[in-house]
Amino acid sequence: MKAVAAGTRRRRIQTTIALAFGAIVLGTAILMGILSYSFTEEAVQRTSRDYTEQLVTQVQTNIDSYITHMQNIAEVVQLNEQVQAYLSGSVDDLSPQQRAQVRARITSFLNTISRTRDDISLILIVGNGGEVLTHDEAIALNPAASITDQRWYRAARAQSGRPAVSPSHVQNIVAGEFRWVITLSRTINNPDTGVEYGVMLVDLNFSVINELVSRIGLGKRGYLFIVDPEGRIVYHPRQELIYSNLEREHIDLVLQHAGGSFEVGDTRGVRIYSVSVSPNTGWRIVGVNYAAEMVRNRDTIARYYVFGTLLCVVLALVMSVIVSHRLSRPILRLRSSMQAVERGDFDIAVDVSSQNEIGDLARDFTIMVAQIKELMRRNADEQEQKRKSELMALQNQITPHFLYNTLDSVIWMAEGKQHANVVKTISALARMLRLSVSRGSELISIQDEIDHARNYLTIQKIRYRDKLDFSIEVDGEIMRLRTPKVILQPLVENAIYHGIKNKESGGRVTVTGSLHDGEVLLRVQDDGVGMSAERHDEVPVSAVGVLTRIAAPPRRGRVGLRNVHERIQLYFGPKYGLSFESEQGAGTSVTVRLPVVEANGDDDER
Amino acid sequence: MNANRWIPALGLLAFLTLVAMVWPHVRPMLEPRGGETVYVVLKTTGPQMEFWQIVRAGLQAAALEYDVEPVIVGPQWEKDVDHQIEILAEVIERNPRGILLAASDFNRLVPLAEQAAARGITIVTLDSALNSDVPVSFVATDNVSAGMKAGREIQRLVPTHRPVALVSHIEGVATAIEREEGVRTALANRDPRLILGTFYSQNEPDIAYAIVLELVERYPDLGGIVAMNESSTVGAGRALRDLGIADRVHLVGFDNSREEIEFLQQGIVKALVVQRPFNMGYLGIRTLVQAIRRQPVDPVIHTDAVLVRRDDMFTEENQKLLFPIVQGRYAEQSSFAE
Repeated sequence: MKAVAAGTRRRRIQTTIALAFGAIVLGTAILMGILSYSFTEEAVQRTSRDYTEQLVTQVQTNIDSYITHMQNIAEVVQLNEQVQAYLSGSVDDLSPQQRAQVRARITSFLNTISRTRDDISLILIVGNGGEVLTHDEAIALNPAASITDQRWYRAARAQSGRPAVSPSHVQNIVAGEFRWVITLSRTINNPDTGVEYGVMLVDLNFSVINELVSRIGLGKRGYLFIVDPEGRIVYHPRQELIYSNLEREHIDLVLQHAGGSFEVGDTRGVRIYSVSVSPNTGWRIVGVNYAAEMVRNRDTIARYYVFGTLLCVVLALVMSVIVSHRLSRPILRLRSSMQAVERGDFDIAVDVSSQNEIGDLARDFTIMVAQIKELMRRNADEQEQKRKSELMALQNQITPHFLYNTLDSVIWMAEGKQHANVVKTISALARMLRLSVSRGSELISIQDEIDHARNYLTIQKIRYRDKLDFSIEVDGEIMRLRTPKVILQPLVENAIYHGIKNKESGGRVTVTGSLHDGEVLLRVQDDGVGMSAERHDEVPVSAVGVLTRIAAPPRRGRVGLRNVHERIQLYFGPKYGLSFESEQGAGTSVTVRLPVVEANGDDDER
Repeated sequence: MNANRWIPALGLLAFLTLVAMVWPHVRPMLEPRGGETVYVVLKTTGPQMEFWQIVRAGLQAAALEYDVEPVIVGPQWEKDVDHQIEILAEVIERNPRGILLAASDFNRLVPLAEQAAARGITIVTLDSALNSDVPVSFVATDNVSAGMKAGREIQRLVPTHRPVALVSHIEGVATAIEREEGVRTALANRDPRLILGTFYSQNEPDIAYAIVLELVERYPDLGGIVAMNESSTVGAGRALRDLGIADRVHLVGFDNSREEIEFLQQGIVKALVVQRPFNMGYLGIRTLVQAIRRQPVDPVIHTDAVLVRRDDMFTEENQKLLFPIVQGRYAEQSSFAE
């Protein structure tokens, strides 16, 4: 269960990073895409529309300049005096030679005008009587074509005095020629009376306009076309298709517009028509743009965006896998190290070299494990030491010497028939032995410890008779608290052997116990000989700095006191232990400082 | 351990290399669709053949509309079948997606066409058919219907008791067969004995001229002639002009050369059946593109022909058919005498 949970968590790091990377890249790309997409679309459409409208207007201006030129020519010709004279019939009286001269002069005049521009293909005048004048003597008329049947002729007659502009058509009036032209025709009138003398035409080579318009491309498929006010085609790149109904052109819609742009949708897709109307001819120059082309540009952009986004997302995923791998690998190493520690193997070095927080974590972990290891070693040492000290304490407690002496005393008392004392001594000894033999917990109740000291003192008191007296005054409230075993007996022993034994008048050992400032204080006091100043140095005072004058006990006793002091410190720390007060000739007082340790159930049962 | 630091850089490098490798394959997918190259093998690319120039204009217009890149090839001269075979072989080597083919020969280009089809190249024939099932479509003038138009005009002009003659170009050629079929259908209610048979000019105006001279001599009351292609019409027209009997013998011809148009205007030719080469070219490309893009196409696509008489020569529609090309600014146009 635990491994699975760890596994999902590990995957989650990678997934989280990948998702985050991917989401950021995707979000940014989509946002950018939408923004630039819409901007592009709008800009492209607007630019294209503006461009087409400008272009169409420009073409219209160009074409108008041609038409204006033709109008000027017609105007000049119509006002020419010789033309007027010739057509009005005022030369009819002249001789044929003179009339031929006039004709020649008019022809020369027309020729000069036509040469001003090479796109004028024909200037022709036809009088009411059917006489024809052209810009070139060499031009022969087509006998099969009747001038008066020509559309341009009828158009000019129909709107007397005003010029008529034809759509593009094939001019067949000249023999051997079928030229595509635009014809401007008008009647020639008397400038004063308005009487019609005849009709004239000016032909503009249509190739001029054809080339002008056909070269203009609008996008890839867009095109330009021209219709006259009646909706007849002047120019259309697909004229043939329209005539044969393979394609339809929206000429009716174009005729409804006098400028600007409009949109048309049909089977060929949505197109934008831009119209410019010539004020001169009424022709409509129309630019046609395919909306799909703009859309296609837009779609291309969109596809590039999508591809770029995909690349970025893939890159983000790859990078996130690498990054998360790099992150999770040291974490996994650390984890396996931790598991090793869990199993109890403290001899590990975490193999993480990352120079980041994980590296710090791994180093801290390594240090921590080393610390634990050190602490455990120290703990084991202390346990060992405690065990040894206790053993020593027990060994020191009831020495053979003490046993011999006690037994000697018993024998001696038995001989003196002091039965009561014998019983008292033996029972005290028995209780002492019982306590020392019992290897229960290390901590015992203060009650037991006091009893132990009391038994010891009882025996010693019997041995030393009236030379030793003792009293035990311990507060009842501390009796149930705990203490390391065998701490009082060595102190009492020390008081007897070094304080009272050497005093002629005998002495008194007082054991007191009380609670003071949250600590247990046990005191063994004697009124014996006390300690000399020079012997202070022999007392182990390493951890106890509060002593004023310390008398080091002789060798055996000193071992006992030191043992007690060390054991207390092992159990409870350097704050606790023994302290001495001694004065030469006045006695010695040894204080045991212990923490308050409450009994638990276990101990009570023992 | 230090090598680890290079893993992201190496990964990035590998990624960029991968992108660079797939880029040429990805790019076409990103670019707009269409614009594929299609080959058009014509009977001739020479500038002297107006018909084929108009076909080309139609091809170009359709290529723009349907977004393909046409490569137009063909021999200099129209009857150079060997050269056309060479050109077609070269085109097939380039493995285009489609070929629009105006075959100069009904049979000789078939093996190449089948080879192309085996490579998955879509073939559409234009103007002249191929003796094969390989082409997915055939785009041409409806010659039967064109023949019928000519026949009906003769029917209108020539009283039924007067004999009529058919002058065709080459025996066995598809256009000759189909046009004759149309003409004869239109003349069905005439006395078969007054249909003086079909005479072949071998595409030579002089032979047509001689045929008409002989016919007029043998059948003084000859009422009408249907000349079924340009050279036949020109030869017949010259003969009628020279004999001065155009009023009596009604000539209906095909196509729209300058000389024919002159004859039409002079009344020597009463009517011309004119094809629509622009539409043919346009529909050729359109059909090819549809076939390439896996859209259904009709196996035969006909462009109609138009009968033009003297009095409707200069209508808006007809003048564009008769005079399809607007010559350039400085082009010499005043003379077309032969």
